[in-house]
Amino acid sequence: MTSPLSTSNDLSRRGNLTPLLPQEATAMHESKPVKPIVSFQDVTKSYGNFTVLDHLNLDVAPGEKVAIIGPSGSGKSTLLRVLMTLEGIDDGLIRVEDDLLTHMPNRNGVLVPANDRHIRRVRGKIGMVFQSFNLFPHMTALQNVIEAPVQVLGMKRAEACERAADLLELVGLGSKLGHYPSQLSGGQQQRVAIARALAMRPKVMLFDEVTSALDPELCGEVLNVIRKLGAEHNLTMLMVTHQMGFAREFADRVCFFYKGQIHEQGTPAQIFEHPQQERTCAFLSAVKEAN
Amino acid sequence: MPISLLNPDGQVLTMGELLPLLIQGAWVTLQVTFFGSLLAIVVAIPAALGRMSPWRALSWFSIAYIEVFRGTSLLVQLFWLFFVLPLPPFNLELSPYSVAIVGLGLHIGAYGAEVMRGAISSVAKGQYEAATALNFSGYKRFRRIILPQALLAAIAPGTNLLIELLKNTSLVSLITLSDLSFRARQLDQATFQTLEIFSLALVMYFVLAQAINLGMRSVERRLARGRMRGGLS
Amino acid sequence: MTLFDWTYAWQILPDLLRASLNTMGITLIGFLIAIVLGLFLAIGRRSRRSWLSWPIAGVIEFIRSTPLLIQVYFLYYVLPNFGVSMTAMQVGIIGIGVHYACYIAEVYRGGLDAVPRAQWEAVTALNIAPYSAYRNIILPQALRPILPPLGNYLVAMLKDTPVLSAITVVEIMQQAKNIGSENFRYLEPITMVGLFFLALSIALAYLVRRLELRLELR
Repeated sequence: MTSPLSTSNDLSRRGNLTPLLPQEATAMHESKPVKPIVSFQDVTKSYGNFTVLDHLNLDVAPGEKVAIIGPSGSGKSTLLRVLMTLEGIDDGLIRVEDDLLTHMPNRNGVLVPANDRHIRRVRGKIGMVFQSFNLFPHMTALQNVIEAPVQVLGMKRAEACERAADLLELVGLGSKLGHYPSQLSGGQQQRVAIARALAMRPKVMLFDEVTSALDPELCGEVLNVIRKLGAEHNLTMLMVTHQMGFAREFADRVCFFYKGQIHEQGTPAQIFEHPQQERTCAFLSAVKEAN
Repeated sequence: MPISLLNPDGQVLTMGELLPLLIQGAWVTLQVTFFGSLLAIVVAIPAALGRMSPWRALSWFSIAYIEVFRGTSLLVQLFWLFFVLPLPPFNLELSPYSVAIVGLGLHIGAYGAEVMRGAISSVAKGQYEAATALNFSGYKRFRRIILPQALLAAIAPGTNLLIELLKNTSLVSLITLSDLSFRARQLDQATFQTLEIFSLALVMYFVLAQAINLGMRSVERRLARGRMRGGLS
Repeated sequence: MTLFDWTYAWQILPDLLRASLNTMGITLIGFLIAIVLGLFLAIGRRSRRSWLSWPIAGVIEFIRSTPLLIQVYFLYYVLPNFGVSMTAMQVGIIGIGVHYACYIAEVYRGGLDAVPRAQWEAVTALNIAPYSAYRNIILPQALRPILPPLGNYLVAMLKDTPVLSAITVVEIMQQAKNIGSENFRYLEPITMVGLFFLALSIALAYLVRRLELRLELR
């Protein structure tokens, strides 16, 4: 019942839910230790009395595709949001590559809350796609995609347009450059949103329930784009999703989130076929019922 | 059937002759409306931002400006600028034209600040998040993403304010500026053709108000390009 | 020379207060005219007889889109030609009352439109006469949500009373100008008038907000 990579012994031995080190999770592929590209160390966040992230520890390897599943209110989206600095954390540290995200060393080497310039420098390595797309309604698809490179990276407009056209071609919208968001379907808008995020050349892409707001028949086109991205580029991806089938087939690692902590994690095969924890089983069977 | 009393000179002007004289006044009215509204917009946006700012000193200052200029009468403000400033201790003499533009601009700007505050608040939170995710600085985010959307939302209430401004320009006649109201009064005192003159003046204001309505509607169409469902791109 | 001459200010206070009574009186009576006339205008505008509703709509729109000052000039200088003689104060009150009646008519219209259609149909089905219908059924429902906007127009009207100084009505602004020109010192009188309006409009605005809260709690 327990495979060589058994997680349950590790987890119970460690008592608390410190996660698998990246090499354990991807032992099938690599054998030398890899430096994580994103690292959560003991991150805690509360809203008043409600703790939404509870001493969270998570290391993500470069190029790894992590799917995060779990019941609503468990803190999955918050994990992405604090990484994207949309919200602050109360305790703990977040690292992106070698840099601390939320803190920085001052002149004496003591860690202080990071200033705006530091945050923006580190944040530039991360991109995010939202559940409600959040495209800029007063700009066309092309303008949406070139806006940030031109305004933030200082790219020349012509060059940005060329790149944007390529990116929109990549997501299958090469013919819709001049369309406004209101003229596009939900699936098309989400694909533009993906192209827009990619235009900033992030090292890590965050997908926050990107198909939850779409009609079922439109999910496929978005998931196909994500698949393509995963296959052709070495992007690190963190995905909060309810699409179990997709997570199973696409992710390198699946984390089951419960009450602000990673309750259980492992390869898709481990989580979906041999879940160890009771809550994980309950969640997965409830999901199966719904489908 | 013009009901007019011949003035002592026995001069009666026809509608055709009254009109050009009134148009001169209307031209001044238009100028004051235009520059007054420019000042109002320039003042309204920082005042709205100041009002919403987390810095207490800034928000209190903005609230004070907004409440004082909304809470006191426009005529009081115009008279204050016109009568009080030239005397000690301020010793600042402004022409009636400047007083008109500054007074009207600051007055309507205070109302405009509240309109902008509502408009900026109406921009979806997701827009802020998308801009943050794309690493925009606060300034760029406001100028390129939030403000354009806020301006579109501000057009409907803004049009009403603009028409209020137009009507309020009539008060500058009381600080001796030769706008449409001043000319009308002047002509009336010269010819006593009260009915024609003031009727004509009222109609001219009405026409100007409708022109503003039409103008703003076309501005709205331009700003909202592509936003309407199934609209033209 | 000091910035603000307090003795002077104290001296002129009684005159200003006396004139402020005029200001408040004009506002109150003008407001009464406006809310009564406005109701009739609103009902007329909503009438299904287009020979009634269209002209009324035109008049409302015209008066709302043109300056109060010209309307008041119009009444003050034209009415005598028709044999009507009134004091400046009377003309002023009527002028400001009619002007705001047109704004308030639109507020009433919104309130009446908001009364559910079912109520109108019930009234017809029960064969209630129009006067009783409005008085007992329709108006009580229409009026509650529009009380705050009415309060706002009361404040606006107060702040518009100085316009009447143009036709020699002695309200507080005119009094201040007279005092100022007599003494060659305008700072104190005009500032005090400004404070008067500011204080009243803040107090009224506060009352309107309290009223809003009370209505919502019901």
